[in-house]
Amino acid sequence: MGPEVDVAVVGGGPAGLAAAVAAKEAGAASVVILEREECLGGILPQCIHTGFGLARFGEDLTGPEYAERYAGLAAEAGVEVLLGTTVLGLAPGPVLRAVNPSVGLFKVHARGVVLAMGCRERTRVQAGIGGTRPAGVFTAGVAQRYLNIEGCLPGQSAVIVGSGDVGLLLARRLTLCGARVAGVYEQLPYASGLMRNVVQCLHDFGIPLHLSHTVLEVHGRGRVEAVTVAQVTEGRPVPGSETVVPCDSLVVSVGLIPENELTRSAGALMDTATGGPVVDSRYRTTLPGVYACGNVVHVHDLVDHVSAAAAVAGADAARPAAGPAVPIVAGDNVRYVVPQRLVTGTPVRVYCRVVRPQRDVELAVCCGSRVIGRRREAAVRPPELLCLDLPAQSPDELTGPVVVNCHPREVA
Amino acid sequence: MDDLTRAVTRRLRSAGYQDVAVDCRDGVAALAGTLLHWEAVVEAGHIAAETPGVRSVYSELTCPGVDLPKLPAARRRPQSPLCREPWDVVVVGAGVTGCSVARELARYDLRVIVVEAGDDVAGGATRANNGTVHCGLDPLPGSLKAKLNVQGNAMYPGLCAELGVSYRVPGLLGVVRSADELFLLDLVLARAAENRVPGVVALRGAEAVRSLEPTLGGEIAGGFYSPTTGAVSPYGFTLACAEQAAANGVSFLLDTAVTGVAVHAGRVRGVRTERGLLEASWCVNAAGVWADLIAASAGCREFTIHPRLGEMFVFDVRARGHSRTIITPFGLAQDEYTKGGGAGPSACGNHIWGPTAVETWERRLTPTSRTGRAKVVAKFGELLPGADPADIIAAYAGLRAVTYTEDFHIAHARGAGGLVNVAGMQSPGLAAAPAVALEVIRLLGEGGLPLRLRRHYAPRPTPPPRFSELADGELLQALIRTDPAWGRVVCRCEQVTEAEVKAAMQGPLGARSVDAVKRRTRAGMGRCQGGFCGYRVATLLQERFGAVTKAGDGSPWLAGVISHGT
Amino acid sequence: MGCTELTCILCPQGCQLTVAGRDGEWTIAGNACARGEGYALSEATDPRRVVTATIAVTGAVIPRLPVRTAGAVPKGCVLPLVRELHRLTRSAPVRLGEIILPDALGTGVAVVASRSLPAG
Repeated sequence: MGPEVDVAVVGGGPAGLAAAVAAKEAGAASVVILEREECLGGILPQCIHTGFGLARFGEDLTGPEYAERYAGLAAEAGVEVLLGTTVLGLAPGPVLRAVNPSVGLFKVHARGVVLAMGCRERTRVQAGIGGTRPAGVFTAGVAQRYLNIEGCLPGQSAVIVGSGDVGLLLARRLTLCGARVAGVYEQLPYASGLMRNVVQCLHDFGIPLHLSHTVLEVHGRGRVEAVTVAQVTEGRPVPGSETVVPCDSLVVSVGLIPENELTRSAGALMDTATGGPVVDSRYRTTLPGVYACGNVVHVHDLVDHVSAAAAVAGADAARPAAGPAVPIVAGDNVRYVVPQRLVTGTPVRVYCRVVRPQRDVELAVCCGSRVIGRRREAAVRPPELLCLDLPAQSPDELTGPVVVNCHPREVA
Repeated sequence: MDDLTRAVTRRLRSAGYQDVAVDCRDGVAALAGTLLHWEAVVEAGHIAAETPGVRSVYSELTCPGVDLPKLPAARRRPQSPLCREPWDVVVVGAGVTGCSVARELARYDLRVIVVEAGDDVAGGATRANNGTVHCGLDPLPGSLKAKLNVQGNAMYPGLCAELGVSYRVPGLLGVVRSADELFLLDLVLARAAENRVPGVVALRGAEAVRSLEPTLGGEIAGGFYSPTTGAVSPYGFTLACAEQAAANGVSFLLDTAVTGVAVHAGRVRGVRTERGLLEASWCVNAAGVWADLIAASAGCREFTIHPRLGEMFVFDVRARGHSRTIITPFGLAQDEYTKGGGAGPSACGNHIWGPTAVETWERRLTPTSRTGRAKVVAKFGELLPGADPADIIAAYAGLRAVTYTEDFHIAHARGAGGLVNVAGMQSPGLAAAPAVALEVIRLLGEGGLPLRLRRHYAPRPTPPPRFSELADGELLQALIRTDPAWGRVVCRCEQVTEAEVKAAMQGPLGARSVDAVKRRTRAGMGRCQGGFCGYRVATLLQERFGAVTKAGDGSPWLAGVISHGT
Repeated sequence: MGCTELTCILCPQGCQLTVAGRDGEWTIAGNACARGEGYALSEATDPRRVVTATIAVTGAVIPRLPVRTAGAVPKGCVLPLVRELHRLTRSAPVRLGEIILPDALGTGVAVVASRSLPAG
């Protein structure tokens, strides 16, 4: 029989930290974070660029600064942290089974378990990139770790496939560290990362961004020697448009996948659109006492959103809110909505992503003919997460399912 | 011009190959000339091989853009101390064939060394195998393949138990789509009887097939089931053989390319390598795709390898909609020289689809392609509509070392006494390997190598346990108490600990590269494909050996450090 | 003079801005907030960037220390500053916010540590 705690948090990245701090603030007597790395912060310590914390702290922080600040809050709040600890299983109870070098195998019984494992990167195979398998093919996160933590160059001349934020940031970092970036290739007709990263990371350094292009094959025996790139229309390479680009490394930045091995194996209901578990607006999964937050639920593009949502999860794990829940679903030009269930009686922040870019729109949350919330946007793009705050709803008002639509704004 | 030369020439001419120079001696058809394209080169070779009376084909045919193959250029290397010792037998190549032979040779009072160009055992065609231990239905009756395949397959369960290698027997399910093709089942049963494949049953009607494999989709008329088709980790098995060989005194010289076989007065006197001459009067040529060039270096021009690329696609262990058995569509429209691959569970639990079969002159590169993937997905996706190609986590390819007779070529080399060629080891080379090893021992003995059994034959040293298989045990708790590295999970997808990675780097056959660690521990084989563990493994390699490579020489993991100059 | 098209980078909205005019007479359009106007103006007249990089660190568990400029520096300083930073080495312990360079390339802006690294 292992220790019993009020709230056990799996993962000490931004989501886990925020959940743990919020749980303490909401009155949990004992909160423990189980983190597999030797330090807190998850991916943040290697994200040395700024752009973190504007919403949460009102300051433009770097990743390490944001992580350190949150780790400080956790320490002040009295959150216990187990580093170098890998969680192996989640059983009903909920009970976590974990291992680390100092204790060995152990179990943690908790009233509430918060899953905050983050996400992993899609690989070259998942992006359909064929060819040989030499050294020099890295996912963007790995390349970033080598550059920013280890001080190692993954390559001297790189091609970057995918224009997600990490890929764009990598293009700049590689350039600043003396490597040559031959180009960033994005198969969509628009950049997948934030505009500010396109501007600050590519435009500032004259790095070409090739939209509607992708990498088809890797060449080289021991080490990458070149890649074949081609134009893409409707997801298919255009025959005859292939070009061979010499390089010694390929950085793959083709998206993130919520890391849900634990969630899945425990039997939580999953949402195929997000890749994460179905959660209600208190971030409860379908497993009793089990919460999920951060990139485990869906991939975010701003850490501030992660912290905000995780804080809801942590607080509820400490002191669960009562109230029935109704489903909230994606409507026109909306790919997914998180949370997937709306708990009445508390204010809710709804996150969603659109299917395709659209200009001059209104994002509206409706229950039947009743509009619960709306927001105008000059432009929406799939890479950017949209959010909308809804006031607390009473159960009598929510008579049926809630739908989120993204419609062209009606011209008055 | 003798009769056989005339016969081969005639056949080639009638197929439109006017300009092929043919010279047949002792049943070996030697071909030369330049043809229009590679497919023609391969076809001409096959035509010659199929001429009655031709025992094997040596081809110097080429086509524009393709040079005659050469052994890779020797690198500048310091001499190995092993080159100062006398040897009885040098085995060239540490694939499944070479290591199986080494393991058998280790039973005898002989000084044996295995020399391998790659940085690891099983690094060539062996690692690129899908791990199917074929039952022996495919080879033509009477072929060497047929005999050794069935024999080898029967040896696997016992051998794997002895070596501590996991062996699964999912069986093979051939699926016949159309009722018009059901007559083929009688041919399968006849083939099974001729090749002595045990337990094969015909399944008439969709019901019988679906009762075995309920996930199958589309129209099904019937099929056959062969219960002895197995699955093994090809590198796990090969490494186990090599480790047992090493435990019994066999030496391994890895990361050392062979530049030729030294022959004097019609007799092998050694094997030339980048690190010096290994003196020996016996040589087993198990050099896979290079076997023809190794043989030719000894003056033996009896066979030519024409590589055939096979691409394989690996699914996430979690993927649904897959089969319990290894399934393969079976009908009239079969490729002539290949079974066309299968779809089924590997020994490690992942499902693997493939391989494809693409003729190529390229002997060093093993690329996968979009076309290959599309073909495999179309072919097996039809049978397994519940499987999602988005669950494919890895793709790899290998080169089958194919001779024109499409059979194994296991024989004493003519004109080079002491050289035994073990060539043409295409599928079912893995299944046959244990029997091939026995055949090689027989040939060596027959050739005059004194085979005196050693008094003691040591078992394979017990491999360290796997964390993922011990996760709840008290043993694990005890392991962590003695070595905390057992509690440090390095690869989260496959749950591999630091202790296992460190153990994999131990010993003369220990891993020296990231890929070699992966093959031994499975770190990096999971769904994130090393995204999480790659740098951890690299760091552990760096701490122990200094420089880190992905797969040996020429594959530096990183490109340098951030320097003052940048 | 003609007009300059810019993408605002102050927040993820990424407003498309146009700046027209010259010599203190500027017309700015496309900004959703007042901050965007300031950004457009500074991009047109004196573009600045916050610089982040790493420097070598000894005696810590990792070999690199992340650093940042305390404020934005002229865009032209970015590359020379990073080169300068790559020449520096600190020894652990380092505290978050500790000054690495008091005056980066004479800009008056300090470079500070953006992470604490204890010795060990």
